[in-house]
Parts: sequence; structure tokens; C-alpha cells
Amino acid sequence: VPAPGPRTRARLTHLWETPEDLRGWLGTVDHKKLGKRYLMTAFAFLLVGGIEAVLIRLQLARADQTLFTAEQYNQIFTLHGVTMIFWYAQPILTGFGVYLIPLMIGARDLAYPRLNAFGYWTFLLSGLFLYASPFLGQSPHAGWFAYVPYSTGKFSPGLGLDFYALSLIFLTISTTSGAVNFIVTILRHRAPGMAISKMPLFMYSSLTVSVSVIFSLPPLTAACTFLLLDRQWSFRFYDTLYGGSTVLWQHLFWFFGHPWVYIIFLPATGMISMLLPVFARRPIVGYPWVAAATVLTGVVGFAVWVHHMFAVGITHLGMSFFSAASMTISVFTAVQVFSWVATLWKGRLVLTSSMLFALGFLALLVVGGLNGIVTAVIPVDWQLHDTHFVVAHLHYVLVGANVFPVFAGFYFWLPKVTGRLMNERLGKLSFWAMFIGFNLTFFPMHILGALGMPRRIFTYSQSQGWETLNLVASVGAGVLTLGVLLSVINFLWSVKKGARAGENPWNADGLEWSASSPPEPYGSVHLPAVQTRYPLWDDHDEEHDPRHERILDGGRYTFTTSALDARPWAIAEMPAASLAPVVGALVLTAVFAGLLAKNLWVAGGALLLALATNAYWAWPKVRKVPEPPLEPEHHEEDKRNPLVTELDPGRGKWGMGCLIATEAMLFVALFFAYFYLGPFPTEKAPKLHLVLPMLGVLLLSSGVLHYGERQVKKHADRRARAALAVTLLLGLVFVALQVVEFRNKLQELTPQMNAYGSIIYTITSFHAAHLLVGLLMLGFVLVLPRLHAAEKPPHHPYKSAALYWHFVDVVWVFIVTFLYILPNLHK
Amino acid sequence: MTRSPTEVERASGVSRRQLWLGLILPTAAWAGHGMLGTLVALLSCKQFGIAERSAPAFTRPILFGLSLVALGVVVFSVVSSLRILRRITGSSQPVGQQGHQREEFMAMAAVFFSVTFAFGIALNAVPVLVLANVCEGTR
Repeated sequence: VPAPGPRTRARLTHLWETPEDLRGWLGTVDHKKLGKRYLMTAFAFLLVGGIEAVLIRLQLARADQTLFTAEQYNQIFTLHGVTMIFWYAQPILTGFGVYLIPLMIGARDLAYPRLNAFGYWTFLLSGLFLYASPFLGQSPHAGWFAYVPYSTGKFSPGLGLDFYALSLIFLTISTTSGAVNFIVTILRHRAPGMAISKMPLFMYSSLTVSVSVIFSLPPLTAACTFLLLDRQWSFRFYDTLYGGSTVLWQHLFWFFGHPWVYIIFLPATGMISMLLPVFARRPIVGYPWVAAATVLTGVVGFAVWVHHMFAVGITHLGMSFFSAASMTISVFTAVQVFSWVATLWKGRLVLTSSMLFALGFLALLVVGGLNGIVTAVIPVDWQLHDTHFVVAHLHYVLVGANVFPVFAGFYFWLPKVTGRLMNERLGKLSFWAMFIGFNLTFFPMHILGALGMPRRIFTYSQSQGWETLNLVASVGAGVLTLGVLLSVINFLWSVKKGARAGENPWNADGLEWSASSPPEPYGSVHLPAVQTRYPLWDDHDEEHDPRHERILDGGRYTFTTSALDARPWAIAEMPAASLAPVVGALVLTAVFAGLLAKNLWVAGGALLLALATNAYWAWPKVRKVPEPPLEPEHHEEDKRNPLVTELDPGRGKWGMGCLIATEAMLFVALFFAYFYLGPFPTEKAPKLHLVLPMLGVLLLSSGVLHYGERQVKKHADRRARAALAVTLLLGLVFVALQVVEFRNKLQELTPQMNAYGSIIYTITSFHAAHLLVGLLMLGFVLVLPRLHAAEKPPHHPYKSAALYWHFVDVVWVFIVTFLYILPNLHK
Repeated sequence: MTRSPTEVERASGVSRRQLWLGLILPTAAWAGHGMLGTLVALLSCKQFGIAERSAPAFTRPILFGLSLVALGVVVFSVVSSLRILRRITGSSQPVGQQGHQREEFMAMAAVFFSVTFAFGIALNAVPVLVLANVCEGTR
């Protein structure tokens, strides 16, 4: 059979390319285009945050400086921290992932392309939402962690902290959607043969942080929601006079915050594990250990949050546990460092700009790791807490382990993205300026911290003896900025005038280097099959596909493979460009603007529009496989024998599983808050006479829906629909009972009365909101055209909606047990 | 010559469940030890120790016992993962190709998980032995 020629390429291009008009630009779902947008937008945020950093250093360069007032300085360092940590450090890695993951694993796109587009637009709009605050003179000013009580309405009036809380909640939607996409893509769409023992290490880090995102972001959402409710609606979560707790914020924030450190660090280490062996000209030493250490960092990362709170006043035993976990986690980073060093030791080094940035990362990571261990020792931490030592530590970790790998990644992968090589001389100059500038800026801060200079002070007096070191740090910031600008110039120059890169300019091993530079809209003509960890180094022949098993040009198709061994299982059909994601993101912006203005009509109206957009998005479209531009002739070239022929009907199920996991974590955070704020003085234990029947109604509804699921499997369309209708009816009965329960309860307790009222109403309202979403899902499935259309049963929307409904019911079981039955037992 | 997953499983007699257990057991032992330890300390100190600001006599033995049980579980996990690894790899593995087969990779990861969590649990047990009052700081 002859190799496929121009006709196959033209057909694939026609299937996968996005129209070059405004509609195409707004509606594109191409991971390469969206990846580039992520990278550019996040880099723009890096530049904005960098300008803020320069302003901070200008203010601190000399004693008694008066460039800014204390309030202005607070706003600048808050925006700097928030921008760098939330809108640069993680999204830039998402950008690399969005662009590279499908190419690295041999898929044609991410699992959910429209969700990917939605994630990008929400990321962009949430950032613009935050940056509307300085233009309104209402910037947040309480640091990137916004500790209460300073951030509550009493001490920080105005809209600044509302902007903070709302923009973070907005951003979590983008981050979570990205994580879901990565998890499902990596687990279900790897090239045939790419078992978990052969995945690129970047996949391990991306998968680990995506799972971490799913479980770490809900506590942040809970904390920010509590803050907003306290500030705007006079709830009492953080008001100690009414039974609230200020430490609750710290627990929730750092339960998110420490895994977040790994979320912005691990993908960067994954990038280093990909590019360092290429420039050491040998496979990485200890692949299995590096992969396992990456996963374990994600796991243990959830058990170290209290080390940010050693100065708060925790039990000694509790502190010891968290200190031990903090020491344990250093083992995993050490394993990775030793593996990189061994790879360098046994390799033949090629000192490109990318490699220099990788080596710089290694040096800075070791310093950042070691001074991190210093602060994990409790008595030392008590001395150094809230001093510039901590500023030095966090910048060694975050800049050293994020910015340097990101620049290494830019110099390594941009030739693939743009098709042009960057200038090596300028790249090396940029590296040295950044490396020297960085150390000049942040190393003196260790000494300043040991001398007692606190963080977050806007000026200091000459008599304190901190001026020289601060001046050195400020000069260093200038050198660092120069280094960054040299790379920006290099990039702009190379896009126009750089030498052509070719497919594989570095003689690298990964699958992404088998595509053209820049890649075609469809990636490779033949979806690759993988035999080894280093396909391009180990006699890889992607074109060896004599039966044309891996071309898949009958539609926008890619393979679905099994999670562990990547055995081909089905064909996944990918959606084409759509305006629904950008419209959905815009409507969500209106929801958040309404909440900011406390205008519930605007917020509610926009929410309804968002639901309508969602329904349009999910409504099954008639599959229009576009006609190929050239009529297929009866020619050998057009013979296809795909590895698998079945269409994958259940891709949404995995996404729904991830959604339920993150929602479950949200309720765990809410229950944690309930128990943390308790025990409550319960003179009157909550009444059970309504909630127990409500429990019965929900359990019955789950039973009926389960019966319906079984009928779907049996193709009993009518009975399945009837079960769905009965479930809906029971759900509505529950809503009616919930309204009565609220009305009764409000007679004796309001959310503003005390922390107990606040948490009780918040938990039950969150559940009610989830229940309404569940009802909408069931209603949507009920009106879907056919229960089992062309796909084979079971009908997957039915299954997904049922899964969500069962989850909502299980949550109610916990609510009744914790909030109603337990207080009655203690009566 | 690469062997298919089923061939490897058949040849070594190691089931997929055993491989997963090697990863999950030490993780669960470490997490369970941490959570149960914290819970026991909190409950017993709040219930019995807070008035006199000293730990009840049974708190320390319970915590120590928990550590021993958790350590026992991970030591069992270390031994069984090493056995499984040997059964899968045999002695003919060429250097540099370790963990190439998915089963071998999982077995190696299980050894790593078990050893590091044994270290983690041992570290967690140290404060129980050395703190003068395990209830210190309870409010």
C-alpha cells in the first residue's frame, strides 16, 4: 500500500484547521492556538508582575524612601504576589501543557477541546477582572494570602478584597477545567503502546498537579466564599466575637496554598526532566524513581500546610507531625535532583541557552530547598517567620523552580511553536543577566531576614543598618529585568529572522519533535504508536503504518486508549470550533461583576444566560463530517484499516468523575469549617422532623434513578424516561421541603446571628445549589432527542447526570448526619 | 523483545491487584497514621488533659502503638514489593532498561513508596517519644 500523499494531508487539514476569520479566532478549540495564547497571556502577566516588583525594589532601595505611601505600597506588593502566583506561575505551565501534551502523547487534541477554550477565556477574563481594580482605585492590599481579620470589611472597607476573592473564585474555574482536561487526556488519549512506564516525565508532573488542583482548589473557593459572605452580607465566619475564627482562613488557605507551591513547581521539574537528558545526550537516570517521586510529592504535599502556621499556636505534637511530613517531602525533591545530577554526570553536555537555564534552575532549587528545610525546623521558623528570609526562600523556590525552567522551556520548545530558532548568544547573555541579577536581588534577603527586617514594610530607617543590602537587592532587580528583556527581544527577533528550526533541531527524543515545526493543525498524519520511552532515539518509525491503521481521517478523530497500558480501545470524536466557550466565559464575567456590585439581579440574570449557554454547548449536534476538498478516488491511498472502529461514546463520564471529585472536596472543606468552628452551644438541637423525610425523598429518588439506568441498558426507553421524570418530581418535592425548612429555621437563627448560623446556611445552600444543578441536568437529559441515538447503549448523558444526582444525595446523607443527628446525640 | 502485559503477568504470577496494593497500602498506612494520630491526640488531650495541662497516661502508648502498627504495615509492604519485583524482573534485566515494562515499573514504584513512607512514619513517631508532654499547646 503506498504511503498517504497530499490528498490525505489536505483532508486532515480540512478537518482540523480553524477558519482564519473573527469567528474562527474567537471560537478556535485548537490546542496549539490556545496553548500559544496561554503562553503569551501568562507571559504578559509576568511582565506586569515584574514591573510591580521593580516598583517595590525602587521603594526599598534606600531608607526612608517616599516614592509610595504605605497604602500604595501595600497595593503594589499585593498585586505583584497575586499576579505572579495565580496569573503567571501556574497558567504559563498550563500553556506549555495545552500546547505540548497532545503532541507528546500522540493525540490530535486535548480530551475536551471546548473546555480548553473555555479555560483560556476564563483565565484571561478573570485576570482582566482583577486588573480592573486599580483603575477603580480599589486594589486589594492585604498580601497574596489576604489574612483575616485584616482582609475583612471592618479593617479593609471598599471593593479591593472583594475583587481579590471574586477574581480568585473566577480563576479556579479556569484552573479546574484545565486540570480535568489534562487528567482525562493523559489517562485516555495516549498513543497506542505508551504504557505508564513509557510516558514522558512531563506527563507525570502534569497528571500529578492536575489531581492536586482537583483537591486543593475547593478549600480556596470555600475560604474566599466565606470572606465574601463576611464582607458583603455580614456573615460571621471570621468574626471571633460571634464564634468565628481567624485561624480557619489560614487552615483553608494553606491547605490550598502548599499544594499550590507544588502545582507551580512540579510541571517545571517535568520540563527539566524532558530537556536536560536531550542536552546531556543520554536517557534520564532513574526514570521510575523520578516518576514515583513526582507522584509522591503531590500526595505528601497535602500534609504539610501547617508548616506555614507554626507561629499561630498549634499543639506541639501537631507541629511535630507537620514538621516530619515537611522533611519527608524533601526526600522526593532530592531524588529528582540526584537523578538530574547523575544524568549530567554520565552525559555529554551541550551548553545551549536552554541547558544553561536548566542548570541555573538546579543551582537555585538546591538553595531554595535547603533554606526551606531551615524554615521547616520549628524554633528557627519562629525566629525567621515574617522576615525577609522567607521572601528570599519563596523567591528561590518560585523563581528558581518556575521562572528558570520556564525560560529553559521557551528556548527548548519555541522553535517547535514558531518554526524558528532563537539566537543562542543573546539567550546566553539573557541567562547570565538573569542568574546574576536574581542572586544579587534575593541572596541578601537571607541576611536581611536574619537581621530582623520584616516582610511587607514600605520603608525603614537608616539606623537599622539595612540600607546597603537593600540597595544591592534593588540593583540586582535591575539586572534581572535586563535579562528578561533580552529574552523578550530575542523572541521577537527570532519570530521574524531566526534560522529555520526543522522538525528536530535538538535531536530530541520526544514525540512532539516528530511533527513539523510549527506543527500542522492535525499534528502528524499517522498517529504514532510507541514501543519505548524515547521513541525518536530508539528506531522510531512513525510512518511505518502499512495498513493505514493510524491515520483516522474519517472525522475529527483521535484514539481512546486504556489508562495503564494504552491499548487502543475506541475512537474519540473531537468537536470543532465553537463560540459557546467564549460566550460562556463572558457571561460568567457578568455574574462576577454582579456579585461585586451586590446586584443580584445582574448576577442572577447572567447565571441564567450561563446555564442557557451550557445547554447549547451540551446539546447533541448533528455530526457533519466535512467533505474532503478532493474527492477520494478508488485508490490504494484511501484504504484504511483503523486499529479500532468503535466510536467512544462515554468520554464525558471521566470528566464528570473529576467534577464530582472536586465538588466532594468542596463539601469536605465546608464540613471541616463546621467542625473547626464547633462545638456550637446547642441549647436547642436542630429539629429532625423535616430533614429525615427529606433524606427519605432523596434516597428514594436515587433508587428510582438507578432503576432508570438499568432500563437504559435494556433499551427500555419509555421506562427509563419515566424513572427520570419521577426522580425530577421527587427532587422538586425535596426543594419544596427545603424551602419550608429554611423558613422555619430563619425564625430562630439567621446566618448573621453567629458563626453557627453562617456555616449551617452556607452548607445547606451549597447543597441546594448543587441539587438545582442536578435537577437541570436530569431535565436536560429528559428532553434530549433520543435516549440511545446512534451510539451504543448505555446512554452516557443519562449515566453522567445520574452519577451527579447520586453524589448530591450522598452529600445530603452527610449533612443530615453531621449537622442534624450528631448535635441531637450530644444533647 | 517486549512482552505484552498479560504475558508478563502470566509468567510472573503477579496480579494487577497485587501491584496496586503495593502502591496503595504504604500510602494508606502513612496517611492513616497521620490522621489517626492527630485525631487521638486532639480528642484525648481535649477530653482529659486540658484541665491539668498534662497528657493523659494512655495518650502516648496509643500513639506509639499506632506508629508500630503503621510501621509493621509498611515493612510488610517493603518485603512483599521487593519479592514481587524479583518475581517480575528475574535476574536478566539489562542495565538501563529497568522499569520499562509496566508491571516492573509499578513494582519498582511500590518499593519506593514503601521505603519512603516507612521513613515518613518513623519520623512521625519520633516526637511521640521525645516530647515531654504530648498535649502541650492544646487549646
